[in-house]
Amino acid sequence: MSGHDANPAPITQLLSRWSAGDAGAFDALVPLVYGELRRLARLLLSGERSGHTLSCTGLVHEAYLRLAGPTQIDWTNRAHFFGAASRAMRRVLVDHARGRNALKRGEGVVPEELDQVVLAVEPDLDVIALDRALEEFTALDPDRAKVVELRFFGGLSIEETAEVVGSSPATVKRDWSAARAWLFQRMKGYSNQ
Amino acid sequence: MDRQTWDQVREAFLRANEALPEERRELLAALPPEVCHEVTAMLKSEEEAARVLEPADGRLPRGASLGAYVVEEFVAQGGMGEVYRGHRRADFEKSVALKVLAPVFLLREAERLFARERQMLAQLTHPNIVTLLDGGHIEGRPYLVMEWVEGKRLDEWTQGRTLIERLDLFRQICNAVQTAHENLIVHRDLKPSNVLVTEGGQAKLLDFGVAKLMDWGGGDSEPTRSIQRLFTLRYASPEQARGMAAGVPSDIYSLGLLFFELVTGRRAQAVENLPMDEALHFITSRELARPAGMDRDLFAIAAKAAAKEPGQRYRSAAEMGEDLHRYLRGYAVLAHPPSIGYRLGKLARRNKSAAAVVAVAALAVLAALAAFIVQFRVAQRERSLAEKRFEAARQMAQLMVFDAPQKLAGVPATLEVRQWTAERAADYLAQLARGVEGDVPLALSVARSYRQVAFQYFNTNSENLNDPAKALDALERGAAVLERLRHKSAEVWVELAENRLARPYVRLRKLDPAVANEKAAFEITERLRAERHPLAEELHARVLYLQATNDRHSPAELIRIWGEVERFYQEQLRQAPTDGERMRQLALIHKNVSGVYAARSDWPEALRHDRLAVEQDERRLKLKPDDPVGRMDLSFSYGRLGQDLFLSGQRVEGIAYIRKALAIRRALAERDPQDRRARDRLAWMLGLLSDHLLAAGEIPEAQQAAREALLLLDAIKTPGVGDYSIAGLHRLLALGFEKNARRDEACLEWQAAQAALPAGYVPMPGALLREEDVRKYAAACAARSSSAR
Repeated sequence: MSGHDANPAPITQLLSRWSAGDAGAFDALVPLVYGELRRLARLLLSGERSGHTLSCTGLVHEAYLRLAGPTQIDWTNRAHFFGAASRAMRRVLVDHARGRNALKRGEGVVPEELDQVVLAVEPDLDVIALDRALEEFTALDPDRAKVVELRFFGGLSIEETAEVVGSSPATVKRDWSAARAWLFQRMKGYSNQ
Repeated sequence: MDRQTWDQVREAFLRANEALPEERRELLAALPPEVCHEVTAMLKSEEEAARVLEPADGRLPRGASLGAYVVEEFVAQGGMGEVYRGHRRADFEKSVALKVLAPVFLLREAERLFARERQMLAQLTHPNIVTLLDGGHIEGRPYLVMEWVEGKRLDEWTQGRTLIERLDLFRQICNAVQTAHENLIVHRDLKPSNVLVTEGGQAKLLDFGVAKLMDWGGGDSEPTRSIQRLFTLRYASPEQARGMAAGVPSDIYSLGLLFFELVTGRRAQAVENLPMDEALHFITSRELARPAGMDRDLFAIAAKAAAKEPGQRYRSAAEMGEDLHRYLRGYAVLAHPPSIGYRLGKLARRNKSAAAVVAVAALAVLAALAAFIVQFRVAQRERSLAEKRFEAARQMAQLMVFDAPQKLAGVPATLEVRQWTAERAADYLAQLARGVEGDVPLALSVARSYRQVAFQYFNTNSENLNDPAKALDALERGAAVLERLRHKSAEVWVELAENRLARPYVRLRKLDPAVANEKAAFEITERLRAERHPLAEELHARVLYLQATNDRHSPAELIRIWGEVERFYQEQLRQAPTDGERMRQLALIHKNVSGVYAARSDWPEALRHDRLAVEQDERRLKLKPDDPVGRMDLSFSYGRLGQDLFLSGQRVEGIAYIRKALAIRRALAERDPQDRRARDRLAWMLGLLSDHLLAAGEIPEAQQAAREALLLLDAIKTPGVGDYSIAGLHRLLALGFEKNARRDEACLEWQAAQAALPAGYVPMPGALLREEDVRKYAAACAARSSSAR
């Protein structure tokens, strides 16, 4: 696949600025990655892999490799990248779900590339409710909310998540399990409304 | 929710999620309500949350092919890979479990292990081991196809199971592990999630994935050792924790922990939340501790299996299973240090006369039988255990080498077996007693054995043959053996006191001998007190207790005696606040004192003691929730409190307590339909309820209760023998009909009541039935029917 034309430089720069303490860099990163993820999804689906399930992990890792290349970014930046990618992925999924809902109501258009993608989340998962619950959770416990975002939307494994947030796999596992149960309660609350 | 509450919720959820059911209940009960509410909801939907919110990445979608098999749904994520439910192409009927190695674990070692698991499982066929059907590779990911087992995880299954069911299941696990070991396969990762239990109660062991072929010739290979981390530390053996080779003893250790958890509902090795070094220290050095209320033999079995030193464990799973079998049959377990059996054996060796040997054999059978019956009664409703009853009877018969063994083999009811055994034992003792002549240890042993036999015939604590006359006879014979001794040691006096304390005169309504017996017992304990014998005070208190239960004393005298007894037991309980027997004694004292006050219509005092008794019995039951004696005792306290509340004018509350008592007795009677005493007591409580409902004007319900009681008593009454209870119940029915002016029916009931009344009946104060009433009404009824003619 030679069709990729994204320039990795801005992302690398943004990551460096972010790790140097520039919070604005993160906001700039997310849309960049977001665009990349959507582009990637389209690309992957157009080719020989059409019809396959695209997973969040696959997309995020693929995006990472394309944008940065495995050797060009040090680990701190790599961690930051996954943070941004997870956030971007969350937006992709939420937009997709909103688009679907809008389509059902007869308005709006679903981004075609996403409509083709059977994103590998449970079909009965209400992404919008999860997004809302996660927002509430972020206000309550921002650190653990980050774990959820990385783990669920970024598709990072327990070990990868632990490295990104700088804690132990055991702690991540516990945080993840408690947060998951809590979020699920909230989500149930929303859908009952 | 605020941050602080969330922190509480999170901590509680994580702890509760790892806890076993018993601990979980305790943990939740201690939380503030709003936290508890949230945590409970989270726990309840934990599985669903994990399914919905777990990233689905890398999972196979429905319809994916694995060789000849098709994926239906994702089931679980295990340490080694993912598990799916699927079916063979074009065979939708039969489900299979598909285990696919997770890509993240695609290391060379894991791949090797996976292949090994496949190879080994294929060799293993056992009803308690999940069968391997097929295997292969898909896109570089190896997979296994296994028999689909519909069942619960061991820890989920355990809830609400009786001890006997749990033990029975554990023996299946032992069998499976034994078979694997015989095939040179060690499991190495035995834990509740690797044991499924089917609807039919069959255990199925999963995941021989980390087992490796035992290599008797060579040592461990490097890769196998380095993946030790895959083990669940919570069930890991000390040698596994140290990273050493894990063999059969390691599985035995895990079995020990599994067994402990199965029996107690508590974690044996709570190391999940410890840092690695502390966890390892815990595993290698912390011995199992016996929780209060855990049976000593069962604990001994768990502790032997989970000994830190591999050489001290059971040598095989079969040996552990056999010890459990022994326990279920009531024999001394091997795990236990030598005790009574050992001593009896020594006695037999010391006195080489045939009679001593016979007595020892008879007592061994008695002890076995008693323990067996306790276990058996629990299990009786299980039809599958009917065969075991036969088997147990057969084994006992073998033990009873001195008399026709076939007599036991086909015995339909345990009651009959016990009757026979008790009689046999008494005969043997009678023979033995003739040869005592001055041999103090032998005389003591014979007297104690007589007391054992008497205990089988009658006691107030447990199932017995309900024959106080034979019990008294055995006790008198036992005492006679001791009385003949010229020199009586303190030990002899103690046994004489015990002997007198056990005599059921009051129960036999032999009131004068009862008083004489109390006096004699009192003199013995006074003698022991003068000698400052260590048991003197307790015996003294028990003699006072015996005196206090005899209603010949004046109320003032009774209250004084009770006060002294109560003080003694209060002190005893202070020294051992969780001692069940002492709690029971204290509750009994309160029940008796309340009776004294109730007889004087001093309701505030009577109710105060009733409530103290309830409190004590409830506390005791909390420590040992399944204890049938404790449950029966509590039903007495509730019944008593209900009765006194009713009599003091608080009718609604009173009836509510009687219903609580009734519920307990109903459950106890249902547990064992053949338990005569349980039915008798259920009938009694129904009678009480009927009586009170009648007084409260609830006639239809009152009559319904009386009828149910009659039905119960009908099945167990002795033909031709008068029965107060039956007469009393007919009286209640008659009174109900009178109130509704249904005279003919009332008349029939009065007649039935009169017919049921024993000859020479002496009405007791406060008895359910007053003789004059019956005779008076029956006469009136006869007059009515003759005038109608």
